[in-house]
Amino acid sequence: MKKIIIAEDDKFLSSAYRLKLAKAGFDVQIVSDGQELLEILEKYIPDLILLDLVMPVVDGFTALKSIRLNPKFKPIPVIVASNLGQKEDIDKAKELGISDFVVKSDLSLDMLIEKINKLIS
Amino acid sequence: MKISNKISLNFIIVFTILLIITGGIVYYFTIAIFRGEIFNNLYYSGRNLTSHVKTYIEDQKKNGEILAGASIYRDFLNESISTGTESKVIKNKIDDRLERTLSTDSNITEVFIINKNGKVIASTDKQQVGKDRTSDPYFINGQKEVYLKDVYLSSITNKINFTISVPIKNEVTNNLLGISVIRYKLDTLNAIFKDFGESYKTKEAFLINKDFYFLTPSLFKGDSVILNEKVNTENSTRCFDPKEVDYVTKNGYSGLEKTIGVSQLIESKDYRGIDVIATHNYIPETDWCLITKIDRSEFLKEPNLIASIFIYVFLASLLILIIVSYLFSQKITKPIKNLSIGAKIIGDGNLDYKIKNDSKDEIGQLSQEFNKMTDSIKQSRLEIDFKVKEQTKEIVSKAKEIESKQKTLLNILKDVEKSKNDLEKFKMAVDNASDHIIITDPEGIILFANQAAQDITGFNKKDMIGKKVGDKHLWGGKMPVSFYQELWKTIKFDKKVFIGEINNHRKNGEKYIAMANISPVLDSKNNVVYFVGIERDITHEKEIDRMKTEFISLASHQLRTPLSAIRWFGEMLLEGDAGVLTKDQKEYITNISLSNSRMIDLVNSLLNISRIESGQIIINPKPTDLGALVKDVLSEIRNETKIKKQKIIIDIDTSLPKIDIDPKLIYEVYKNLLTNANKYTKVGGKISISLLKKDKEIISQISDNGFGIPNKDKVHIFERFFRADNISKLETEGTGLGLYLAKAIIESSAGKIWFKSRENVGTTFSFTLPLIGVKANKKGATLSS
Repeated sequence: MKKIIIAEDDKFLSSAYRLKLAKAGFDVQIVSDGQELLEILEKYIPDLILLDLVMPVVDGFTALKSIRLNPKFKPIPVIVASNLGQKEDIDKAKELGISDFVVKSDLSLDMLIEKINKLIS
Repeated sequence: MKISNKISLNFIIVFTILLIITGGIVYYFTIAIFRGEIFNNLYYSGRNLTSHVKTYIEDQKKNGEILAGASIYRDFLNESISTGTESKVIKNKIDDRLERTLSTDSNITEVFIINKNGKVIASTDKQQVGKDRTSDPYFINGQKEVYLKDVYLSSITNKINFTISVPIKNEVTNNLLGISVIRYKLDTLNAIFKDFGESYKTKEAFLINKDFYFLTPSLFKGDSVILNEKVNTENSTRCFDPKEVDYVTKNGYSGLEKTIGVSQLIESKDYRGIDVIATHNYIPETDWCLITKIDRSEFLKEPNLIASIFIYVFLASLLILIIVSYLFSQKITKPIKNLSIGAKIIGDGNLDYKIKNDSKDEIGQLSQEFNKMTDSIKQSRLEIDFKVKEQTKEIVSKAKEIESKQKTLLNILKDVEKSKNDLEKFKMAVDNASDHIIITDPEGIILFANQAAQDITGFNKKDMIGKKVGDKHLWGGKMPVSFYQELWKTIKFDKKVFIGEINNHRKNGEKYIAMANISPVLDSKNNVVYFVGIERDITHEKEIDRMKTEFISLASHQLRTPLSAIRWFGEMLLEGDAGVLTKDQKEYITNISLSNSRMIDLVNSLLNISRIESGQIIINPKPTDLGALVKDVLSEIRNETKIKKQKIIIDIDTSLPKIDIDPKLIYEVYKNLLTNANKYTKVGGKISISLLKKDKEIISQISDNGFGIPNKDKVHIFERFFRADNISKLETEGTGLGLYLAKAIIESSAGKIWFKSRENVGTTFSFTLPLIGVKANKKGATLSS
């Protein structure tokens, strides 16, 4: 079973992720901020990380930078799912190294699952 | 002086000189010829007369000798000597003989005999017999030979005589018996000189004795001169010159002139004191001189006559010459005169005058050329007149123009005072403008700065003037070097206006953002004279703008999150993740999802608007087939058009090239326009779309026969959030942002967009895109879909 860590501070959205992705057959771990993400990565190496950008404590960009700086986590594919969508945000994320960038409001969960499957199956 | 007079004068002068020379020569030679002739005349007549005289004297001498030789003479003398008495018989015979002798010649005035003792023993003049003649020359000289006693005045007869005395000798002893003397009067001698003058009136010849006395009469003074008057002339002197006398005595006259170097033709004065030409002949036998002469005036009469004839001929010739030369010069100068008159007439302005001269000579040619010239002058005069008229018109119009300009100028001058005030006002306006205004020279050295420049930058105006803009010690120098290079290139070399934001810093170090508008001021030769820089401190606006953008961005994010949750849960419900839904439940959830989608669209649009308004549309051009793009859009909205049973007419030029545009953005434009056409056209309506190339553009047209746009709304149609009255009543959906976005995209892509519409008839939207495409810009933001 593929392991996915989802960093999402909105509890409704994380709930939706959990329901949909679990149903789709993924092992899903949810964290609500960057700090938590970095902590869980120390004991749990996922196949993919789904990362929000605007989060409390440690935001998505900071967390992503830390992940990319750590050789252990570097190979893990990251999909950024944010409601930010400006070019600067996209470029900044791409510079740090991500597999995909999706705007949540424009995304259906089915499309998300397709993208994930393409990356890790 | 007129040409004709000149010609005449020349003729006359030349002719006169020639005639004078010829006349002089002719006269000289004529005189020479006449002189020769008169000389011959005088000379030979002189010689003739001389020989006459000689012959006459010789004849008389012979007569005397014959008489003396008569035997009766000897007898008579012998008898008287021997007897001492005279026989009457012999005496009678002697007397008889003497009388006879006297009668033989009327010139003989007396014949007498003298005995050897000098006593007249017989004479035709009885009173003389017995007189003693011993002292008489004819007795003294007559004893030896025949003796001519010179002409003398006889004391006896008281007449002028000459005598010839002949000795009478004994035949045997030859002793002197006596002397026979014959006395002659001069009649015969004088007769020799008579009528000598021939046709000449003043020609005369006369004899003089060695005492220079006349022996024969003077033509002019008659007989009285004889032995009474002397001839003291050059002739008389020369004639008795001993040399000449000697020579002539010995040799006669031949060669006289050559031998003793004297001319016998003498021109001098005669005894009267009158000029004469004369010659002379010495007669040795009688010791006389024969002078022949003629008055010089008579000698010159003929040459002078010839000369006067010549002068008359000359004067006549001159007269003829004058007339001829006048006529000739008239003939020559007449054409010239005609030409001259013609030239004057033409010169006075009569260009129609033609000079008449058909001759083939130079003057004829000149006249013809002159006529030609007149023609061309006439022609060019006409042209000039025409041009002058034209130009006069022009000048008049120019003058009017100038007049009006002058009035304007006067008005301007009147306004000078006012203008001074205006200038002051202008200066005040510039100085008090809230924008920072500086003027620099072409090198960027600051010449002027207004109060606002000082206020905004914090630098004193005095600190600025003379420094270069962009100096680090002023407000500039905060931008990359490449930025300033680009700025200078634009304004100085491209000579265009630069507009852009510049980060500057004030004197106190505080940063600020300026919106700069820098314009080159060009002179008539397109050289930069000044730069005018106007900068506005937009730091505050930028901050507000940034905050607005941030707010919208954040707000959008915060809105999107719940919308995402609604979307996803809706999807899950509809997919039956929470169990199978009833028909009603499904319908309600669907409505929620659709409303949610509209909300998402609205949020996306708001986000785009905020980005467009901050000038941040990212254009990412790729070679794009617009036809394919249009078809993609049509397939996306196919459901909607099918639902409304609308007819779609596609007219796409298949030869259109791919152009460099941002496909995502242009897709949005087509989608907005086609969606509008679909929405605002009735069921069963018609939508057409055409793409065609025109010039350097591709024109896209989307037409419908829908509701149209009310006239009052047309001006607002591209405004954001605007929805026309007629459709907002019909259709509650719609953000009022579609056309606003379309216009922003097309204009960012170097195109234009416009429309035509009539309410309830239809609407056509058109936009252009350049064939060369659009350049990428890196800054800004992509649109949210």
